[in-house]
Amino acid sequence: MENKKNDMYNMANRYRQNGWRRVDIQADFNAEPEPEPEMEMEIPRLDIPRHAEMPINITTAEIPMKNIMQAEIPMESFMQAEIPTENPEDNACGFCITPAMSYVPMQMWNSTYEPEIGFTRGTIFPELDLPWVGEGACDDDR
Amino acid sequence: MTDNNREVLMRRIQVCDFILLDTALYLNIHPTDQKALEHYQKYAEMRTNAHREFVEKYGPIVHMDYDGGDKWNWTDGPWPWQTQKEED
Repeated sequence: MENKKNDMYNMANRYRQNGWRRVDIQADFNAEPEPEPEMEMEIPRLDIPRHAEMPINITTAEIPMKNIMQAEIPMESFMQAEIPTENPEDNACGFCITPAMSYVPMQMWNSTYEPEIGFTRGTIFPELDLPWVGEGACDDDR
Repeated sequence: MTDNNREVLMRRIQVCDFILLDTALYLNIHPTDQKALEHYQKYAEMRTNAHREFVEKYGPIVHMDYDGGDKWNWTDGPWPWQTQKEED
């Protein structure tokens, strides 16, 4: 992976020296994974809409989780974020695909601490009473 | 009614306030959770009683607790946040 990144850097630098042309990448989450490309190949030119024109289903909500897990973020999208193009508008989007997602389960009402315990712990919910680095700096009851 | 001293009553109010706050945060996203509502009401009532008892015995906690008499009693010491130690 590290080698691949270096190769991509070198390739990008060549483009920068020889005149960078913008490379748009769209992650095709439904496509079969492609075979590993040879390192010397050119960055493929993909004719896809730019970020602002991308269809709505590229946003996080509608990409099936299964495909998110399988998808590898293409190196080129990092490159695009790092290397300015001649046209500033081309860099407006930065990352063209979502770099991370989070999922927070809904809290449900279970048991609560006894009043005094909750007061000293800073929450009445045992499930939210999580260990913190640095805890113990103040002298509480636990 | 047992004769709770000033510190115990103040502590009870503070603890109740905290429980009410935390429960309110939960209720913000679960507005119809009956157990949470019950929990809120229980401590709201406890807080009201503790607050009333404190004000009757030791004077106002905030100036809105002014008793309506012919003297403004908010400035009568000690201040609610003064501990017994500080008064001595």
